[in-house]
Amino acid sequence: MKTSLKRKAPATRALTTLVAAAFLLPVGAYAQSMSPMRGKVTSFTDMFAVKVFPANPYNHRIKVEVKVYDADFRPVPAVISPSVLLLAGNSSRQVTVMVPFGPDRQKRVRICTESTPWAQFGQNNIKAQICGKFIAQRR
Amino acid sequence: MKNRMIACGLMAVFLSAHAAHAQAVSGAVPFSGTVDSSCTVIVGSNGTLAASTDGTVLGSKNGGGSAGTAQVFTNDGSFGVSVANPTGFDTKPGAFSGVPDFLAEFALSTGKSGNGNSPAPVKVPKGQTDVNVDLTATLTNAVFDKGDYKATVVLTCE
Repeated sequence: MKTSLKRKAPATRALTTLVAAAFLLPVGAYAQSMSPMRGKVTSFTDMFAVKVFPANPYNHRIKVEVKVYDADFRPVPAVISPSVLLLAGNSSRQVTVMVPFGPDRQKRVRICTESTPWAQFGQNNIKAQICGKFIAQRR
Repeated sequence: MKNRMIACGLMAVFLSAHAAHAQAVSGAVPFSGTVDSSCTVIVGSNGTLAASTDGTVLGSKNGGGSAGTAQVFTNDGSFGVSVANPTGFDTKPGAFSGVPDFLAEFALSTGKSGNGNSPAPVKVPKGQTDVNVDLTATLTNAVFDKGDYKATVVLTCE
C-alpha cells in the first residue's frame, strides 16, 4: 500500500489525503471563530489533512489568516487553502490544511486562526488568535 | 332495494373511515446537528497607552491609559487563554531607537490572571469570560520620544 502510494503523483497523493480526511473528520461544523478545536487524524499517506471552519462573529468584514504551528508555536510548513481570507460578517468558511508528516509517524500541530486588528496610533491593539490542537497518526 | 341500501351503507362507512384515516396522516421531520468544540474571541476596545511622568514607561496602567477589552466564548471547559509579549512597536517615531521591555498582562472576569512572561494558558470556563488586557513598555535609562506608538498584543485561545 505504501509503495503504491509513493509511486503516485503528488497531486494524486494530495487528493487521496483529502478524500481520506473527508471520511475521517466531522464535516459541516459551523461555529464562531474556529471549529473544531480538537481532533485526531489517521492518514495512510505522507500527509494529513484537516478541515477547519474560521468564522467571523462580528457584523463587519474581517481579514483572517490561518497558520500552522508546532507545540512551541514554531511555524510548520503546510499547504493552507486559502491561507488568507476575507470573511463577511457572521459568516464562516472552510479552510483545508494539509501538513506533511516528514520523518515523524505522529505529529501534533496547532492550527490557528488569526484576525488582523485595525491600526490606530497611541493604542495597543489586541490580535485574536484561536488555536485548535490536532494529533495525526501515520499508518 | 334492501340489498342496495346495505351496499350504500357499507360504502358510506368505508368512505368515512378512509377520510378519517387520511386526516390522521402525519409525518415526522427529523432534525439532527453536531456542535463542535469552538472558541470565540471578540475584541471589544483597544487599549490606550500613556507615558509615565518620568517618561520611562509607556503603558495602559498609567494615568490616561486604559486596558483593552475582549470577550471569550467557549463551549468546552478545556480551553485556556494566554497573551504574548510584543517583540517591538508596530509604529514608533522615527527618532526613537530605544528597546523597551514589553509586558502584556490579562485579567479574567473569573478572577484569574496571567501575563506574557508565563505563557501557559489560563483555563476559562464554558460560556462567556470577559478579559482585560494591559500592556507596559519599560525603558531603562532612557525616555520615550514624543510621537505616536502602536503595539499589538496577541490574545490566544487554545
